[in-house]
Amino acid sequence: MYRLGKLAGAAVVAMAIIWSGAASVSAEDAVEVGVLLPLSGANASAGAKALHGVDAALAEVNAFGGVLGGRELKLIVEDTESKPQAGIEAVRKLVDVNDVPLVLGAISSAVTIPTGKYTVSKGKNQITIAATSEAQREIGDGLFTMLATNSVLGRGLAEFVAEDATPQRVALFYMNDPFGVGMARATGDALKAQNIEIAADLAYEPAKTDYRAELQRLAQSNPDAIVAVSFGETARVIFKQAYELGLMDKVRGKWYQPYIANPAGRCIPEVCEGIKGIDIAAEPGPRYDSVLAKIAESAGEDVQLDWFTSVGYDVVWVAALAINLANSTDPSKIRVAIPKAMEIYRGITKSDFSVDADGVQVSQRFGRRIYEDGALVDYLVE
Amino acid sequence: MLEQVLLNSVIRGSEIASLAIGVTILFSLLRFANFAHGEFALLGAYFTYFFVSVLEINLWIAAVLGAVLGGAVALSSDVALFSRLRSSPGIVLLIASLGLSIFLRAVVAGIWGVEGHNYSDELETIYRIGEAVITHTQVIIVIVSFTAMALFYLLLNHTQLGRAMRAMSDNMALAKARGINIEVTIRWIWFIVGSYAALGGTLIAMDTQLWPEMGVHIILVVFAATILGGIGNVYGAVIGSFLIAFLENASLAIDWAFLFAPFGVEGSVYIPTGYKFAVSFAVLIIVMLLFPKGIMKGSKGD
Amino acid sequence: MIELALFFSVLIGIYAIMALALNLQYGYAGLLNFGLVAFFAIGAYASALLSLSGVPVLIAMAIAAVIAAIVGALIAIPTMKLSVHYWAIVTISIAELIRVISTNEEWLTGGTFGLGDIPQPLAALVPLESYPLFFAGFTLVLVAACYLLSSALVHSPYGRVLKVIREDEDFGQSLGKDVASFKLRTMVVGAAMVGLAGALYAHFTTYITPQAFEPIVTFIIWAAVILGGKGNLLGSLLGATVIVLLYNSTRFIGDYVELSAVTLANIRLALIGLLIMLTVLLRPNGILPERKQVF
Repeated sequence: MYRLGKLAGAAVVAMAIIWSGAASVSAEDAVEVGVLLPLSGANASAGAKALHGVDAALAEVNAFGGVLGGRELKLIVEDTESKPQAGIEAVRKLVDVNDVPLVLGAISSAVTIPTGKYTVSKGKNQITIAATSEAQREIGDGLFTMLATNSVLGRGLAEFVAEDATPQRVALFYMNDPFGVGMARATGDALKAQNIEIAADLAYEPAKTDYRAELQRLAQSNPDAIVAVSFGETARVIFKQAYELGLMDKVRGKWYQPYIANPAGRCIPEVCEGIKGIDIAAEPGPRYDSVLAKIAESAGEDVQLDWFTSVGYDVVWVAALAINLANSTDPSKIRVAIPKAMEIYRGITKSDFSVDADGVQVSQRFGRRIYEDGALVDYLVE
Repeated sequence: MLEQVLLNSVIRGSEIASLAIGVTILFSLLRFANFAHGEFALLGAYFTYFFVSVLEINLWIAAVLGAVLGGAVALSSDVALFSRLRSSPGIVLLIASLGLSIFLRAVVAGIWGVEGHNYSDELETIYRIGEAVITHTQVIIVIVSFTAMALFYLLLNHTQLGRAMRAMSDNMALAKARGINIEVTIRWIWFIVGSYAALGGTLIAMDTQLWPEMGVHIILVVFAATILGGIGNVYGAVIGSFLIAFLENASLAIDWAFLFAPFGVEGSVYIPTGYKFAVSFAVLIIVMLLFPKGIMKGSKGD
Repeated sequence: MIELALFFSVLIGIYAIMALALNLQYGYAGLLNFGLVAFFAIGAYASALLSLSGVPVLIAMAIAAVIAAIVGALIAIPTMKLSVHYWAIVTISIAELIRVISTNEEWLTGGTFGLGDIPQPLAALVPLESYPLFFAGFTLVLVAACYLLSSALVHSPYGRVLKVIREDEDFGQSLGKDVASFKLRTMVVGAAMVGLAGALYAHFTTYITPQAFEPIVTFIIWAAVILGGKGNLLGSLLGATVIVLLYNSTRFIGDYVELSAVTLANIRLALIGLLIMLTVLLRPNGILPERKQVF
């Protein structure tokens, strides 16, 4: 409690100092920060969701007087096309041509790791938005994350499954990419540590239209519970086909997802009824609802917002705060300032964004959620 | 178990065939694999979506309108692009169609957004056949697919257009000498295969979702089905489609332990699901080595 | 800025080596190799794995090229009797098979996580700040070597036979030439060059994942060869340059136009598609068409 109070106090003081007196921003000598997001390709919808948060925070920062005493914060957003190679080309442009001191992004670990390595090798900084791979720890000084790594989330998910379903055999069903494999493995290891058997270990290739054969195998393994790692558009197809094959009915209440808000976002209510999972924006900061409502208003009802949006929002504020704390656009000064900025920043996704020595988030509180009657609600294990 | 494998194969096969037929016809006439065929399907699905969501037209009427517009896009692509490359080798047309596919996908994403959509959020009616299940949409997909195959059979064998088409795919110069209007025939073909791809796209989207990436992730499998059946052979393309669909489903479902039992391997042996999309390609390689002309006789293999 | 130019020159160099190899196979021998990326992947993984296990980088690269060549031969020998389009789809299938294997066999390839910290050639000898320049020079040397090799091949009697075979296989046969053997040799030389390009790519980016070896890579190189001009080696160098610049110069639109990032991303891709179509329309024989040769 003492620590929280002290931090809150520090935050208020810091905000007051930083933004005191700044009235109108000057676009003359704008401070440029790079952003890497997948805006086309398989992860494009996640990128678009994050971009809504990024844009909203940018508008707020500049409305508050920008950075460094009245300079406009300008974001240069590059498309990674959901591909590592295009991501590398994009980060080269940001670092070599635009010469930004700080890059925000990307979404997937597959793109984040090579781009992060390059940014850091040039003495610049990168704050990753949604990547959760353990490998981020190895990238070195200058890389920071907005989420905890897979092992933390995997443990949380495994605990939830073990307590809630008390299963003997659990099947793992995950997309065959670094996030899916990393997440499934972390959860599987945590389950095995509790003497729970892994009934099936099934990988699938994302972005296809037919998962019936894979789902048949999942059903065949006859598990007590299923841990599924799926995302976005692929998840929609998987849920629908699992329901149609009768699998959802068979395992009703025993299907668990990490980051459940994303895959459950646009589900047909009957299809996803009873899906459980853990979510990171489960203990959001006080402004979470109001900020997202405001974004939803300007983005239009067609747009699905979830924690990608709130993390996108938070990362821009962290960046602005770090630049102000550094009181400079010098990358090495910003590097020192980022952990401080993360410590004092009260986010909307969560309150405490403190990082450890590797630049990885220390705390990640997960809320347990269940999808009921078309909405996600908090869930308590009985 | 087996029933479901068979049903899944028929559904998936119908979806692949709805594109493979068009690809194979274009191949037999113009000698190139049309990369943009997946995007014709994509556009058709989104045109239907436009009619349903904006003009609030009944889905089936919208699907027909979508198919007509899809055919129009295919026809325009011939007028603006492919007709100007008639004398170029097939590979040049293939690269042109690659450009067209990138272009159309970006246009769809630009207009309708990168997020997935559904035509409606209503639950599907599910039918049970023994142990297996199939949804209402999937039944329609299979029916439409088989009807279309029958129509293509009639078109090829009992219409002037079909006769012209077959003559052209056998020997272009001879067809010309016989007074067949090559250009008009080609335009008709573009319209027909474009509409059919568009209809197929709508059906696939009804069964799964609308998404700008849907076309690009199916086109390689369509090419494989087209070639497996024998290049330029419409019936071969249909058989190739169902064969690939069956292999994808059956190979994962079969316990291969019987193959390994003689070597002292105990327990079940399943192909890892991560290899699903490799199965059809592996089989394709083996089939090509065993039947170097495709499983059905191709119109032209060279 | 200079660093970016050096980065693109290496990228262009890697694409150019592949385009040269493909032009040799298609433009001269008429082989429709749609599995180019398979050899790119084999070269990249082989060189990365060898150098990670302690083999000096330059030797690893050479071995990787040899391995790619051997795989090329192993693929070509049983499939040579297939007619061109069937052969084309077999090569796509093999490439997809190799990609799926590299995604799933983590013990060998690092699976979907890929291989990281791949050593760079002569990194200990070159000062860090001039390393990008060195690597660009190194790439240039390799491109020049591949160009000279290709050029020597196509101007040799072997090259002339290839063109005869491409124009009319039966005629080639009737001259008493063993067509299959000529095609096989072209396949092997091309595979070695693409394998070398893959090795170069691995040591350049120092991090490879299966996602870098999707079929689109093959088609991009095909576009480079067709845009540059079939049967013209200089055309391939030009085609590779045009493709890389087309893909990346379009990124700079955003620095001059005020548009939402999503719109911009779509406009950029639409423009790339449009420019590919336009180039093909305006120069169906390539920017540098094949020169007519009198035998």
